[in-house]
Amino acid sequence: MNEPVKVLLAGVACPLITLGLAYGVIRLGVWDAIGGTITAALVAIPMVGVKVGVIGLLVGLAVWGFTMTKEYSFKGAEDRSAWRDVRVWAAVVIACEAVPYLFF
Amino acid sequence: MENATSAIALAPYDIFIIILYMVGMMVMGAYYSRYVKSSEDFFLSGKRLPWWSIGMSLVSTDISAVDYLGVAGMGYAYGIVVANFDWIGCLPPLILAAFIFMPYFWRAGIYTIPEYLGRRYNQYVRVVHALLWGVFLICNLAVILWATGKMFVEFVPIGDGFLWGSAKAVFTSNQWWAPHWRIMVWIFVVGFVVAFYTISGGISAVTMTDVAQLILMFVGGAAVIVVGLYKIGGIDSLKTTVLGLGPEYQRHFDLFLPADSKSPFPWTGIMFGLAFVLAPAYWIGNQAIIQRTLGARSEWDAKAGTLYCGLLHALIPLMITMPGLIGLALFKGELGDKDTVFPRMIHTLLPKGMTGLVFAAFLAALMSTLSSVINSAATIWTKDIYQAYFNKTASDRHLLNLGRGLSLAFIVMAACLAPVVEYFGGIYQAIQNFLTFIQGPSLALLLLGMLWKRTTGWGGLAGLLSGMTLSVTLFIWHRVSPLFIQDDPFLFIAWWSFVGAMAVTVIVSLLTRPHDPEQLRGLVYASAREDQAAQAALERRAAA
Repeated sequence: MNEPVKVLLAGVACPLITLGLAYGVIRLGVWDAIGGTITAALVAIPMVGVKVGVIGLLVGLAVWGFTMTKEYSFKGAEDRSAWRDVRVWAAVVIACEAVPYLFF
Repeated sequence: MENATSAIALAPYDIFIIILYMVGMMVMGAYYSRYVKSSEDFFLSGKRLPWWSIGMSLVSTDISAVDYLGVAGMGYAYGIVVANFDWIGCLPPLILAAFIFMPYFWRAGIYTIPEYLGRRYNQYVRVVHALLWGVFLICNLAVILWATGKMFVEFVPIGDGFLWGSAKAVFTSNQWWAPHWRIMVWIFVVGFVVAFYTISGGISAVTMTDVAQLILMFVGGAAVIVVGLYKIGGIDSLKTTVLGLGPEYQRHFDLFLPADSKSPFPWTGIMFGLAFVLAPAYWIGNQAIIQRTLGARSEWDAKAGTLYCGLLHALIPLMITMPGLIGLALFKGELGDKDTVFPRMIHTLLPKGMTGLVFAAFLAALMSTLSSVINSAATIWTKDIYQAYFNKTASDRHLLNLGRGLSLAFIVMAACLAPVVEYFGGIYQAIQNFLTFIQGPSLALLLLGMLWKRTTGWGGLAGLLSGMTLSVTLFIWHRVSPLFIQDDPFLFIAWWSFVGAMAVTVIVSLLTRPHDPEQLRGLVYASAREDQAAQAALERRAAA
């Protein structure tokens, strides 16, 4: 079977299989069961926990930024002036955007 | 957004400011045309863009006048929760983009995302992706132009005399345009200005005009905020007033809403649908966005420009969400159409001279998005469709001329067809839903393609098709028989289509023959960093 024919078959088969699976999952109640369980679990998380999680995510990103090597941080820069360290830029930007999540 | 701007006529000196602004943009376009000598100059600025222009252009491209009206309206209706679109829904993907994706794309020397997907997967994935984005961008042009025309007509009424009489004669000769001839006049005027500087100066002109436009947007937005807060009595007074309006406003100052909230923005949707799917798909995979980082003069400028965009984006909710809250406090929740809050504030708060400035800011937001969309649509159709499938040996001059020709064709086509938006009332929402359908699966392909060697071309194609089918299925099914708590679950649809596309891509990849490692050299992030030859090849390309 040549490739264009395979692609055409894939173009028909993938949507049909997806439709079939989606129909089965929804009609058999699997969607409601899984969705209900997930929703109940997520609703049980206190809002303060959500906020801590988000701030943790932002802090984690800042820390991850500093795992980049100095060489990578300055790659392509005209010089190695301290202000060009993009890891510091990332930390500053994250700090600015974390502020609203502390107060609202 | 019917009657969104409710009869706010501009004074002559306001109109003078606007004319000055438009002429200024055209002069900038003409200036940058001297630097356009090749297709790389036109589509990627010859890789000469500095970091500060990239950052400002990214923000300017992202924010359109429709955001000023729509997001302010959502701020009015739902509160500061919509600010998440510019904070948590923006920063994490920008950080990832700055440190992983943008440097990688820049070094790879690609022009478009479909080009990368074509190299990584196969040409079928490339053409499907290119066609989806190519069609979406053109449709989006028509929607933006229609919104522009409607807004202009409200601010600058057109009579029947003098030059307008001639314009009326032209547009009313066409039955399709006749009922909306005034709107069509402004569509063609704005379209002409944008087309001029976009076609002559390419992405250099687009980016540098974006810089000027962003400054104007910040100044205009600040004017509304300062005057509005002064009128209300400050931020504490704003909060007290809004919370005192009734029980339905008690969460207007919460950034996170409960998971079982019926609003479109519960925290689960914000985190899973927006922060993990739609935002990364937008900031990493939207051609109109990444094209300016691809034009960076160095890898450092690509990273720094992306991070600078993150810093500027932190200020955007102050400009577009807070006016909604101020308007809520001012009008005490009495507005019938929430999308009229921003224009009503301009009409109520600002003196005549400042009205023109804020209107110019609106115009700047619209034109910056329009120019970026035009240039990106031309790039995709030129590189991913024409050059890839119809004329592989086209000369660079030919591609440059084609890029310019397509830019003109798209703006003319979009201008002529813009009235379709009016006849299909939900078309704006339909266009946005279309974007939601494709972004989840696109992100799945980008992430797996770049980060996992085992992903195959068949896996990618299956994932893309299945993911889109799943998102359309969920969307239609929810309309018939609710699948989600929210009335408008677009964030959750994006999440589940992403999950579905990931699952199908992984499964089909594991069931199909893996790519030859030689074929993947430099295309998978890890292999590029492990493979010294591939890394060196990328670096040589970067230095060229």
